[in-house]
Amino acid sequence: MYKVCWALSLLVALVAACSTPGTAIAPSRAPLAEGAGLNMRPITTIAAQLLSPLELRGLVTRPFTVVRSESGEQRVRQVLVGVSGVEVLRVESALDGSLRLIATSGVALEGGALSESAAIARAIRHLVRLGLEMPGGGPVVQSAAGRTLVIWTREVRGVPVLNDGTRVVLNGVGALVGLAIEESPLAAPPARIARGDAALRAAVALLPSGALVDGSPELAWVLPSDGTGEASGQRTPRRLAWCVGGALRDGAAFELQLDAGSLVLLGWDGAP
Amino acid sequence: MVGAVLLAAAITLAPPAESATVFANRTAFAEACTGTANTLPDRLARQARSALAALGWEVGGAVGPGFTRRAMVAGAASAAFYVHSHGDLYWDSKSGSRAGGFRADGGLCLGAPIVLPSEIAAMRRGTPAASLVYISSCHNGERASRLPAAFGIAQRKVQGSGEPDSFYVSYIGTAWQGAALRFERAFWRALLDGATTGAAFDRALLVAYDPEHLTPEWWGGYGHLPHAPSAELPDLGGQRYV
Repeated sequence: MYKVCWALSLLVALVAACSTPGTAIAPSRAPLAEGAGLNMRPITTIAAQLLSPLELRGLVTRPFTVVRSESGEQRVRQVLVGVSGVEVLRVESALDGSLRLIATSGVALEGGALSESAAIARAIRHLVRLGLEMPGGGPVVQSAAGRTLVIWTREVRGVPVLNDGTRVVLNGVGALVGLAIEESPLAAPPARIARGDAALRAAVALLPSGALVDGSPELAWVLPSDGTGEASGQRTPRRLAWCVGGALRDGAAFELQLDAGSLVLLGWDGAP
Repeated sequence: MVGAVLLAAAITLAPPAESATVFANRTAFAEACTGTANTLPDRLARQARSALAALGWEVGGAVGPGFTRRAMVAGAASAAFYVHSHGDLYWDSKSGSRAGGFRADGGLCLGAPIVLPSEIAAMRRGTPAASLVYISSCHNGERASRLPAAFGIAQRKVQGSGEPDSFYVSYIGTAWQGAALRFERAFWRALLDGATTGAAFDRALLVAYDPEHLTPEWWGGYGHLPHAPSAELPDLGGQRYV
């Protein structure tokens, strides 16, 4: 049933995107700053796709800046501001020109709730209109504080890359609040992957008395040392890990991440 | 005479309108309690402290065993408040209902004292609504939690006219620390970029975190700017976003 909904959503979105009025400006990759060697989609092109002609009046582009993202990636940031200096749109691209972030500001808090299939269809429609690659697999849909998040987690050979992928945030009527695309570098996988039961034993050996593991270990690409204090903001390659979940003596949930080859502890996460 | 001394002491001890308080439970997540080293509470508290200080607040509070129930209640009247700890819809015998709240550190792995919304409300009696409250814990973003009301913040989202000058953030259900770290870092960064609280929340929703590990919620005014009253707004070259 879910697959049928998903396929239907894709079909509806593609039809909707193809029937976009002819006035929509097609995405292009015009050089932004000649001499800087940067080639990316101009923010004005994206603004023309997202905003009405009335909303576009008086907007001014700020000089682009090179920034480092939360995940440590170097990006070129373009910002569009209104007459009062209020930021209207922010776009970030990787240095190769790939679009990474679109964030609109002050999108109305509309009532109403999108159904799961409607949210997926709207998210796909936004991606198609912006000329972005369709992510693989089925997305997760979550409601948070009046917004709807549609999230495709990146997978490499069937193994999820935690926190990588495509994320589209919509308001209550499906208008775009923003979208983000993360693609982290991956370390080489270990030559030999340890068995899941060995990972379980290694996890148990690390736990305090009274703690229990539950479920079976699962493979994932993780950011090492996320729980133990490694400086964030670096472009650290994800490593293949066995993830083992469980509960501490007081019932608080935890997850251990062990190197898939050596079973060395890579990270810890807990739920307060 | 004694009354005058007590009044003076009360005035001295009461947090001024410019004060912010940051508390984080370190012990319950330390190696002795969980089996693995965990610096997430320190990191969460550090980024909250830095951001609030940059927004002009005088920041107090404690991380670790200094985060006692008594210290927390004394700091509850602050105008900006952050806590990271275990949270739940704890039973409040005074109201005879599950009311929300969180645990202090108290140097204990298990069974640390619980701080209830009714205690915070009593401490804040006569104090204006808080400007910014961030309860980084499980369950206190749920409607059943009375923590927003304890800080004088109604459970409604307002955008446009009639916005309250306050903002409350917490999480629904179980909130994982790794996801909270990413979400909160993006929220604070956006505030320091000049975003309003609502826009900063929207910006944080775009950061990479596992949606099954975190469901953030907010109440208050979307366009609120949570700076200390006397603080100069940061010079953004005329750039702000709503």
